[in-house]
Amino acid sequence: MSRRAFRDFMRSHEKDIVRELYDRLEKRPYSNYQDFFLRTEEGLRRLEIWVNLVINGIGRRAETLFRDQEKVAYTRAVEGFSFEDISHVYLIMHSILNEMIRKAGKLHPFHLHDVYSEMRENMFRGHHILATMFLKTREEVISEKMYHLKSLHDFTRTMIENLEVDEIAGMIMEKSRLLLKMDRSFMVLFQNHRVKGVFSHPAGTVDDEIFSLMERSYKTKKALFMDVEGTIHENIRLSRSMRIMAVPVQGHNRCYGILALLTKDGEKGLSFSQMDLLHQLLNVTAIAMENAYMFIELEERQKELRFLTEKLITLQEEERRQLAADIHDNLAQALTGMGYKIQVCRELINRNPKLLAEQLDNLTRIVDDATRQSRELMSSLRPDLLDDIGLVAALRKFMEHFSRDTNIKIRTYLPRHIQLPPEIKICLFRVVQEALSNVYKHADSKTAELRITKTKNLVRLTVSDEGKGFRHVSRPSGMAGMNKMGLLAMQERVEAVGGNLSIDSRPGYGCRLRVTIPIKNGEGVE
Amino acid sequence: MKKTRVMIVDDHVIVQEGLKQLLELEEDIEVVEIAGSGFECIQSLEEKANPDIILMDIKMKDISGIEATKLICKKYPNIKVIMLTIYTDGQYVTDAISAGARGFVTKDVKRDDLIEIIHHVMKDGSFLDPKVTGCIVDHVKKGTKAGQAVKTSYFTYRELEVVKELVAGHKDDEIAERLYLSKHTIRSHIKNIFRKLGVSSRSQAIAKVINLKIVNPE
Repeated sequence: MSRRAFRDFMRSHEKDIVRELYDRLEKRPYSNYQDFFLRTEEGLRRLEIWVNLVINGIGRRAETLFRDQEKVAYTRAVEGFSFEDISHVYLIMHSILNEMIRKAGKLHPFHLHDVYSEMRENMFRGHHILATMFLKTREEVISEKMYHLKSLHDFTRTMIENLEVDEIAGMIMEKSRLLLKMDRSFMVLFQNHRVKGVFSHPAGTVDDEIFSLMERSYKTKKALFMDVEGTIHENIRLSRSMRIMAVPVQGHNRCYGILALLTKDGEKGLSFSQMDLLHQLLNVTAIAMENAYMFIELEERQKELRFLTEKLITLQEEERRQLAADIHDNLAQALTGMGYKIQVCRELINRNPKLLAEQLDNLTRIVDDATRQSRELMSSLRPDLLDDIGLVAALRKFMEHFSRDTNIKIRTYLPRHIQLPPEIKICLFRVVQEALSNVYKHADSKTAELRITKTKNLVRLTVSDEGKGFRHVSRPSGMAGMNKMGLLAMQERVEAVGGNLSIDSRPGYGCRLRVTIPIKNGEGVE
Repeated sequence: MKKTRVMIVDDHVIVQEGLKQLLELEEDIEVVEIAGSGFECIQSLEEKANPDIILMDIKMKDISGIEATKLICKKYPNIKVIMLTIYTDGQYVTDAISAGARGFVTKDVKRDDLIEIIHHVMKDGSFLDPKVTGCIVDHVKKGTKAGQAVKTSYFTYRELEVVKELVAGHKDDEIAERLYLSKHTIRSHIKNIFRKLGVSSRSQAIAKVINLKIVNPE
């Protein structure tokens, strides 16, 4: 029997060999590698190809088989299969072929030994190539992984120490550019869905196509790859290679920015492990950014608090200074004058009793005046009015004076009477005072509106004007100009009684200040 | 016998009145002039008033009593100034003395004492209220230097007029119009004011005169 006859014999049994191999592989316990053959279409096709290549190699140098084995070894090593499992499958195959050879020898007399040893040599050689390539690849994979791990470690360490958002952006841009061997990197940072910063390394402008890819990536929150033809893919495996890529930097429900990378020389492929590392770097970046923003917010809060404390102290000092001045100007001077008059009276007792009576009448008037002044001084320290006549009446009285002094007309929508705990009454009264004084000082409006409504659990206050308005910012501390101090103090006052203050304003559209304060059950009843 | 001519400078009518009545019970004392502020005081001295003694309050609207005293003691060395005030602060006392005041008396002074003090000062004596001596001792002990207010040289009547206008926020041409002077003259006054205060701008000058309590802004 010639080699050709043997090959034909084997070919006629090719399907049986594959089936036999398949059956043996099914014996438990089986490895991941067996699983690959049994469970995936690719695995089954691989079995067929392998058997086919072995049979085709009978009687000749099986170059195709060798090249195939080399390719298989690389892929399996990268995919992470174990070499032991691969060898096990090889041994099964080997024993099946041996059985087939024996079967063929019984049917047809031919030089079994030559054919057998040739085929065995091809198989051995194939396996040897596979083994060498596998180990070589494995070594490469390990050293690459080690390199990645080290860079991830170094990166994480420098990253988490940094609290400057811009610097963090710069670091990930540089790192990813070097890692993926790209030419340029870009970063667009977002805050409250607005672009907060655009960076390019090396410095330069961001082309429209890059920017629009980044925009799209921000909208979809997905990594996007653009190839040379300008087609956009979501999966690098589908695009195989790419020219521009854009990836989101995102943490808990928040996208901090989009990183983009560009290669100048046409297209570039990315390995699975490169993408994997990039994602890990991006995760670290997101954490670092989250920290940085938290730090900024904390600092802002602290600054606000410091600012407010200082403001409160100044307010207090100012109040005290004013009080001292009032006492000096009114009471102390009145007392001094009265003291002189009394001394005069004492002298007049003997000298001129008629003049004495006159002086005493005069003195009585001065005492009355001083008493009135001291009463006024007291009530300016605490608006007793609130307790005596109630919030609504006190507000009406205040607004009457305000309108007279400032010529600003106020439309009011107030309930006839309102029952509130004393601290909320004071809070609302002071807020109205401050808000209207802001209207007078800053709004340049001839009218204003005051509205108070109360439900079972809530009291609502609105002060609005149609004045010039200002640029809206979410927190008063972000505002420029004088009135922010007043707003901050108001906010603090409202928050102190568990309420909430919001300001709605735009240049040219007036200002609306809203306060809502929850009322606990029963508190409204006096 | 020649009566002692007294001028009262105080911005409270009740005090002015009471003090006048109290002093005029004394045969040899005559209240010849009453002014409601440091500036009014200087103004009436410029015009005609010629008292022997001025009873001067410290804290008043516009020009402070101490600043007015500085000018008076330089320009009218024959007039003797006695500070009559509510304040017992050591700084005020040393400032007043440096400005040239001959006496420092608190407002709760008794009639007999006040009259005696006036006579004493008329005879070239000086008087410090026993209530403030403790404050001065503390003040000197603390090593505080004589008040800042007197480090600057004193202002002339015209300059004080311009200082008041500056604090009120008027521009050069407005000041010129209000004081019936040329813009050129106003500018040279302002230059002198800057030099005396050691400042180089309007806002610095305003800040400094308010800070030094030379002027009490309305």
